[in-house]
Amino acid sequence: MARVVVLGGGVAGHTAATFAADWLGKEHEVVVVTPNSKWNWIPSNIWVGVGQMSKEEVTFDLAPVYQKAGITYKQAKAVSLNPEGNASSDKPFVTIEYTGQSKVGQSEDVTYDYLINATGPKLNFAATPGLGDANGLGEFTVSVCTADHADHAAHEFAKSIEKMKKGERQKFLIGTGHGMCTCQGAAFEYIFNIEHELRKAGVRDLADIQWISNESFLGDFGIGGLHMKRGGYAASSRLFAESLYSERGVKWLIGAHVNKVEKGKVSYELLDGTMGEESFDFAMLIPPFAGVGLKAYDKAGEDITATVFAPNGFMKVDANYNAGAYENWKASDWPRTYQNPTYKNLFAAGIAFAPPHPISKPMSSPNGTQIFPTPPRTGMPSGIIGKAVAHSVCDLIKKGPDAHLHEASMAEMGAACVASAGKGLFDGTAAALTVYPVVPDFEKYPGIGRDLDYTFGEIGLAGHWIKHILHHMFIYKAKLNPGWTLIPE
Amino acid sequence: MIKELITYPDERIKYVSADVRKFDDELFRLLENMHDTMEHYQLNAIAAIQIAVPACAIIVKTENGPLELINPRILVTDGEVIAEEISAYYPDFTATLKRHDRIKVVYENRFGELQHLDTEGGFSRVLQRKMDMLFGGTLLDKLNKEGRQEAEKILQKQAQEAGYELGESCPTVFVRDYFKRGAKYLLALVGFTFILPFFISPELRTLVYTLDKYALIGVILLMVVYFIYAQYEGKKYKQCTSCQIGNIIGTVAILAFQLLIISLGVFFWISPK
Repeated sequence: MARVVVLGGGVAGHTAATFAADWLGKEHEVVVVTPNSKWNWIPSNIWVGVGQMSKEEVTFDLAPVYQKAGITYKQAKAVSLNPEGNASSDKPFVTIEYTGQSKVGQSEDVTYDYLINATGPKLNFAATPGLGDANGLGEFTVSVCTADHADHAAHEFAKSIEKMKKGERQKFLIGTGHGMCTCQGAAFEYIFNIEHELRKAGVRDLADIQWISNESFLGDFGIGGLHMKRGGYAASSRLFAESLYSERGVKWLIGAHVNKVEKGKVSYELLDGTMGEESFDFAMLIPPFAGVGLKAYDKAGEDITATVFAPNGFMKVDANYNAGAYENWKASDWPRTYQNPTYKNLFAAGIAFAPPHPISKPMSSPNGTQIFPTPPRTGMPSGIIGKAVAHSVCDLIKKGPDAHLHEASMAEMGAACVASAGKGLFDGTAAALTVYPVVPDFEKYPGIGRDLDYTFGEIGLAGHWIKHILHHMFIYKAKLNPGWTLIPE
Repeated sequence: MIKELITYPDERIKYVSADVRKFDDELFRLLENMHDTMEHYQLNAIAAIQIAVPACAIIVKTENGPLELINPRILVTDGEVIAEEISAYYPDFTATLKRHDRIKVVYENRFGELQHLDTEGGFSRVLQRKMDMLFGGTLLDKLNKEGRQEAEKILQKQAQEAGYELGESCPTVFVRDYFKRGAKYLLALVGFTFILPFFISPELRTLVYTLDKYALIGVILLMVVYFIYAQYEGKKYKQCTSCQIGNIIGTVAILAFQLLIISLGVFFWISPK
């Protein structure tokens, strides 16, 4: 009987664990280690953050679902890995520290045959002074990264609306809180949902809405932009984004590294090296992501963290980490199997794997500050990678160590993205976009690196309906209701 | 080398230009060609795509000589100005449109070194126009929907007078397509109801089943109307394509296949057991 330990219960981890349990059956054990007691459909946090959904609608308890699936669930956070075991045993193990299940603070060593690291990111609020600290979100801004954060954001947003109803002008600042952030898409959705709700509340005229981000052009989204087919040619997401910002009266500021947050004010450095300040009454700034800080030790107890993890804390996989400068980047640098090169029974999925390099063009200010989006590994690619990794692990267990590993390279994978720009059955809007491949392949598709036959982009009410259907469909799938395996990632 | 300048109605202008990744001889050659073409046509600015090269490079004339901007990006904008503009892409056309007054731009020079500039007024407008071209945009993209439709009409007329075959006698949208679209939307709507059995009560399921059946009849009716009207329209615009009849039959066949699949879904999945 083999044991597969999955660290993390987000999109990648949950997908990997549930499929592994389904494919392996009762002969083998699947263990999920996640510090959370609830599963969260993160994309809908945007709607929680504007008060259009409750926290309960986007989360559910993990314990009963894992019980149904026959998965051993440990509500704990992973602290360290011993891929070679320790002095007393050769069996690799992960040390965890409980955060629930009446064992808070207790440690345990969980041995494994295969480990899938899908911890997701640490929300690194501490990277920007004032944005937060080691304990998380600070007091001056809000976030929509977790359901609790989004719930808090909704309360603060409601306060702002109340003030506006009394005639007080409010300034909303939405975007990224550091020069090396990803997830611009979430901030994009949030700013337009805020704008939509302000219009619904009849107070739009009293609001100044300002976008601030580390992208070098609007609509970059961390993947160097999207392209939509128009009359046989590609139209850039920049034109689409600029017209949307202009149509909705949202001002923008890009190429910005927020370097300090104070009460009602952020300081930033621009790509041209100049410094500036922006005031706000309400701010939602996405923090940068970092690895969760897992340590690794060899058999003798020596620290081998640098062998297993990249300096940013994400796990090294079968990627080319020596690609060098931007002009040398290739699609083939991106990992295919997500297997750790040193320890073959270690895999990573979702945000937890270390990307070989960014997707967007890297840029620095004259002061040497790096300001560009880091690559997103969320949403659809995250689920697809989780499933592929689970498939590989199951084959390794069932067919032996020579089994062929399943591949899911982001340079050969398309992604569909439905970005909400306002919620409402009849007045909602969302931009539905597809991109192929996620990581541009400049060799296969010279120029922009994307295949235009698989690109699509449209904004409208239908997009909103799709977004809403996806909300129900993915929660239905994650709860492992009948037919869940048929619903794509 | 002087290159041919792309002008309306050449659609290559809509191509999105890729970031320049290598600052090598190929780029230098491109820049020389752009310089030569700009001089030849006496332009005050040029984007690489105007000589059919989809690379993020523009050259703008300044008091101190031509300025080369590789991979330019606008970081900050301030103020708005409405003014008349012309573009070498639309040689005999003037549009009145709104642009940012002041912009902050970062770009690279031909050696890949990051530069920046703050600019306003006419120079700012020229830069914005050229940078739109790098992302597949022209003057028309800055107009509102009505303005754009009006401008397209004027431009099509000009192009025809100049001898381009735009095929105005062929409508861009055939009326028959509305029937096709109607049938497709209705089918999609029925398709969406396939997820409902997961959530709804048996009574509601019976109602959905009934509604789906009516919708399927609607699809069949729309297909019949499409087929008949398409024959009429095909005869009306004989000159448009040689194989309209083939297209019509093909469309009906595809719709019929989709109808079959959806109908199977309705009768085997939605139908209350």
